[in-house]
Amino acid sequence: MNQAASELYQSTVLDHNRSPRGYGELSGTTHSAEGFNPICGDRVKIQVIVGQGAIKEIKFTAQCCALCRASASVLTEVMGGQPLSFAKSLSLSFQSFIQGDAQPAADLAKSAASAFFAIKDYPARAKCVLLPWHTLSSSLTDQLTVSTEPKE
Amino acid sequence: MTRLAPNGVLDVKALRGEFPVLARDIRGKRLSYLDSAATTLKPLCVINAVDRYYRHGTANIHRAVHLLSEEATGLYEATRTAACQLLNAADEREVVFTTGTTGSINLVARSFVKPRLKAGDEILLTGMEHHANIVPWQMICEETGAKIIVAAINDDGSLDLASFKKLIGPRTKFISCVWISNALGVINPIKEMIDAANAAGVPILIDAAQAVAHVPIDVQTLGADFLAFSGHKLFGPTGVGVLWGKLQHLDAMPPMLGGGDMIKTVTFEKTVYADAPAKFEAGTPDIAAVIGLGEAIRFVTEDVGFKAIHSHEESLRNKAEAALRDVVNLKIIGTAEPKLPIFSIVMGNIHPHDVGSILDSYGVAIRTGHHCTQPLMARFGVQATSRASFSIYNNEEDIENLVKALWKTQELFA
Ligand SMILES: Cc1ncc(COP(=O)(O)O)c(C=O)c1O
Repeated sequence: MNQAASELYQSTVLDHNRSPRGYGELSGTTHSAEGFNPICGDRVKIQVIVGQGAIKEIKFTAQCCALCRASASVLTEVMGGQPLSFAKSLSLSFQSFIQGDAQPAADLAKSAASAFFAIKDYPARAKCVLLPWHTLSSSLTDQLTVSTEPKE
Repeated sequence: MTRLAPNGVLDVKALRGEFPVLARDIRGKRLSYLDSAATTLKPLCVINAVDRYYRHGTANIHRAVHLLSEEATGLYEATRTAACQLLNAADEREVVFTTGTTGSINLVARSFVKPRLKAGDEILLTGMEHHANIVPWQMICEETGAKIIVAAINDDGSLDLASFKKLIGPRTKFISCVWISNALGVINPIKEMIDAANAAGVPILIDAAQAVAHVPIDVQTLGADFLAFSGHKLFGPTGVGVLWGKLQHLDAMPPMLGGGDMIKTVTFEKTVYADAPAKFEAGTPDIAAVIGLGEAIRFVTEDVGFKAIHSHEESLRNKAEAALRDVVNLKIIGTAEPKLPIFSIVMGNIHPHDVGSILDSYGVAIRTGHHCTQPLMARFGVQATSRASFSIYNNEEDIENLVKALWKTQELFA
C-alpha cells in the first residue's frame, strides 16, 4: 500500500471497519442522537446509558463509509465506562486537534483514536471521522439530530 | 496548432503537453485526471488568452472609445461569433453569455417559462437530470402551481423514450432534458425527443453541459428551442456559459437582471431595453472568461476536431470498459449505448468516499458522491457512486492506473 492510503487506512482503522465494536441497539438508553452528513449521505446513530456521572454503555448503528464506521467503533471503545467529564474533554481535544491547531491531549494521544490523526491532512474526509464524535457530544447535550452542515 | 497526427488521429502525447496541470505530481504520483465531467482541464492557449486580457488589454466592453476598450469588445464579441459557429446557430444574436448552464436554465425558467405557467400545467423532465435542470423548474412550479412530470429511466440507464413521448400532453408547457447524463455518460436520443416536442408544439430546452466537449452540435438540425452549456466543461474558464435560444423567443422574453449594457435609453420614468442578446447581459460580465471561452472553442474545433475526439474517446471507452469488467465485485451503473467514457462505479459495500480516497492516494482523481443527480441515484438504489470520466487528454496509462487503484481498494477492504 502506498503512503497516503496507509496513513488514512491504518490497520486499526481497517480492523474496526471490518469488525466494528459496540455495533447495535441498546435498550434503556438515557441519551441518544443521530448524526447525518448530507454531503456524502453518512448516517450514524449513537445510543448511551448514563448513570452515576459515567457512560455505562454505548452503542452505535451506521450507514456510512469505512472511516466513519471505524471512528464510531473506536469511539464506543474509548468512551465505554468513562466518566462524562472524561468523555467531554476527550471529544473536545479530538475535535480541536483535527480541525484546529491544538495539540492532542495526552489521554487522546495514547487512545485508539490516534489511529485517525492523519485525517488532519485530508480535510475533505475529516467530517467522516468526526461525525460519530459530534453525534455523541450532541446526545450528551440532548440535541437529537446533528448535521455536519450549517442549519438552513 | 493542430494536435492531430498525419493520419488524422489525435496526437495524445503532444496534446497532453498543452495541459500544464497534467505535469503535476499528486502525492508523489502521476496525475490521472478522470474528473472531466465535473470540469475539464485548461490548455495553455486558453490560460494565455485569459492572461493576455488581464496583462495586456484590460478594459470594460461596449462602453468607451479608447483602444483598449475597443480591443476587449472585439475579443468578447469574437467569442459570440465562435459560439455561433460552434452551434451552427442561424444568427449571432441567438447566443447569450451567461454564468454557465445553471445560469442559462434559470434564465429560461424565469423569463420564458414562468410567465406562461398556470396551476395544473406541466413541465416534462427526465429521471436523469442534473439538479441544475430540476431545481429551477421546481422553483417556478412552486410559484405558479404547475407541476413537474418525470420520464422514466430503464435499468440500463437509458431513457424510456416511449414513456417520454407518452408524457407529452395537452398540459405540457415546456420540456427540459439533458443530452448526455453527467452521472452515467448515457447519450439520449435527443433528435427524437426534440421531434416529439416539436410535433406537440411544446418548446424544449437541451442541457448540453456534457455534450459540448464530445459531440458536434447543430442547433438548426436539432430543431430545439433553447440549448445551454458551460465554458468550463469545454476546456474554457469557469464563470461563463452560453444560452442559445431561437431569436423569436429571446425577443419575446423580458430581461432577468436590470442594469448597465442592457438598455437603449433610460429615464427615471421608463427604460427601453436593448435587443437580444444585450438585453440579457446586464452589468460587466466575466470578460476574461468569455475571451478564454473563445479560445477554447477555437482549440476544440481547429486544433482537435470532433471526429478525432470521437474516435479517441470511443477507443478509451472500449478499453476502459473491458479493463473494468475484469475487476471483481465491480458494477457499472448505466451501460446503455451510445455513451461517453463516463463510468459510474459501485464496488460492493465499499463506500464511494473510501474508493475516492484510495484512488486519490494513487494519483487517480475521480468524483465520488451523487453527482448532483440524487433522483437518479435513488432510481438505482444507491446513495452515491464513484465516477471516472475521460476526456481527450486521457490515455491507456490512465485506464491502467484506475484499474490498478480499484484492485488495491478491493484488497484493502477484502
Ligand atoms: C448535465 C449537467 N447539467 C448542468 C450542469 C451544471 O453546470 P454548471 O455548474 O456549470 O452551471 C452540469 C455540471 O455539472 C451538468 O453535468
